[in-house]
Amino acid sequence: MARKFGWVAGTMMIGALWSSVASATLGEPEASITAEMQLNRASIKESDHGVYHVHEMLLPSGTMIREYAGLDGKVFAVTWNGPFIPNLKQSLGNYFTEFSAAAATAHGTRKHLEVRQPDLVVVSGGHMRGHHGFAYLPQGLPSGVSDGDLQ
Amino acid sequence: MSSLVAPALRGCAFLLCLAVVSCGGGSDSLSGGSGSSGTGPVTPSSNVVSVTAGAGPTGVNAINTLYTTVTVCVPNTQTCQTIDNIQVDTGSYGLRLLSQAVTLTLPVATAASGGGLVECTEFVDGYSWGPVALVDLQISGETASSVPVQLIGDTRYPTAPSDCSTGAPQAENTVLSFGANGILGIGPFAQDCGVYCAADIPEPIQYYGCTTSIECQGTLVPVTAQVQNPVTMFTTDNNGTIITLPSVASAGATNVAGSLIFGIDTQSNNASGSETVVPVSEQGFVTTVFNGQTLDESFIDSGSNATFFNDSSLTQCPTSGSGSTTAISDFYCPSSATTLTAAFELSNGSTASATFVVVSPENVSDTVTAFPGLAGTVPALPGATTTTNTSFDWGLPFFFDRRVINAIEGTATSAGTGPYIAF
Repeated sequence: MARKFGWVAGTMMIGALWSSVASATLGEPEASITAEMQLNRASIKESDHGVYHVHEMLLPSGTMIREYAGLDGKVFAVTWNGPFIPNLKQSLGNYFTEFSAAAATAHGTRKHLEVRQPDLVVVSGGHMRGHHGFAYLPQGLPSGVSDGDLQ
Repeated sequence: MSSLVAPALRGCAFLLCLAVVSCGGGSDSLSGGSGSSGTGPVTPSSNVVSVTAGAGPTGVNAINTLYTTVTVCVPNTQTCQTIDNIQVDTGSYGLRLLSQAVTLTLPVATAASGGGLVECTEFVDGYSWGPVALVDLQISGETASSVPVQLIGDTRYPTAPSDCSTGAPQAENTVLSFGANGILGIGPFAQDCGVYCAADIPEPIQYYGCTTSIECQGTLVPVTAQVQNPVTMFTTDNNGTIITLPSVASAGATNVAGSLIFGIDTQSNNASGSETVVPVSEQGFVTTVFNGQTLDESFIDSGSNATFFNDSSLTQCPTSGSGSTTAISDFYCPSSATTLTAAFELSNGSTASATFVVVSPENVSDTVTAFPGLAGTVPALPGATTTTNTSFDWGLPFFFDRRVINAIEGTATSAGTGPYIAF
């Protein structure tokens, strides 16, 4: 299926390789291998886009998770699409608490789940058996990358 | 100006509600048409059940939400209950009942791993937790035995595992938070998960085996033990559905009635063959082309209550007031009714166009429960110069003045083999 929410603007694909390097959660170092990825037996593909790296994780369920890490090694964005919503507690890490609190407020006011805070954006849409969404840290974007580059 | 609230959003449902202070009253006139191609209610028959775009259960004040009535029985008994305000949803699969609305004591299905089979259903904006129960089901003259359904909010399993809230953190386990007494998922697939859940346990976990009311572990579930699109289990007319709704004036209408017809090419009232057949992906998506963009995560969904798409040339509604009751800013408020055209990609490489109208909801009457011009935005990542869109959600407005077929996967009809959607 088509890739969603990929990053294309102003980037160059230097290389891509299947790797045993797993990934991290939002706001945390990419070097930290999460237990979730091991538990989920995800296939991982890493690619270098100059000012950031992308870790693509294809879960056995068919859901693709992409995590974007800057040169400082911190994950600043996560996107997903596939038949199941991913475990956002894993993907959002410490931001899940903020997301949950904001989602409780957003609930009842939005047609899709959308949280837009100064330090955190999470949007989730789709339907049963087909989901997509993204999360990013507006203040965590690497120098030279703005949310305008989110494609 | 009407105040608007949006309670819950189901599997697919982008739900918005008008604060309706009264209901009942007039309905829209039927549009023309003849024979099986007409829109609006059809002649009552054993394979036809009435559906209404109404206000829903007390306090829900729904708009563009289709409801019907089902009868469930304790299996192999005459102990039955008829439940109204069941939402008709072509964007999900399976019958789910809010335990609050059920007076029967229904048997819980047994998990393959032992204990009761309990499901965490991850909807877009929240989750629903409850056991899989078995019911004998009757809808109009159609019957099915021992249908696995989800009983949401059942007190026998009071606590959802923490894993359940990791997809969408908000619980939707009550009639008010769900916006209906239940939901009848009749999209083009036969189960709510399918072969994957028979072979592996997804993360977050969807199906659990619970050895006590609170001790639950993920379990594999054979395909036939999963929550089933109940149409597939009817003894007849079990290959799909047709929804016919009348045209609705742009000002909206109250309690618009139509029909849900079971079966395709099985009776004189459900012939197919003359429709435009839109192929459906394994995730239930169709491809819509709009404003030069090819949107391959689009869907046609009676459970979405508006037409959701992104068009930066349309004026969005003002962010007015404060609090949840006035949040309409994600909807479009054009100064005058705006007619637009999009197209569906068909399997032969051609396209079929569909026009739709966008009307501001700012001045809609509080009694309106059907409003074809309701439209709003969909999630899309913002770009520096353009926005990357992937989705166009054709909600209930698409169904007005149409006869929409959902053919279930693997079934043969004159118009083709399911899964497909045709109109």
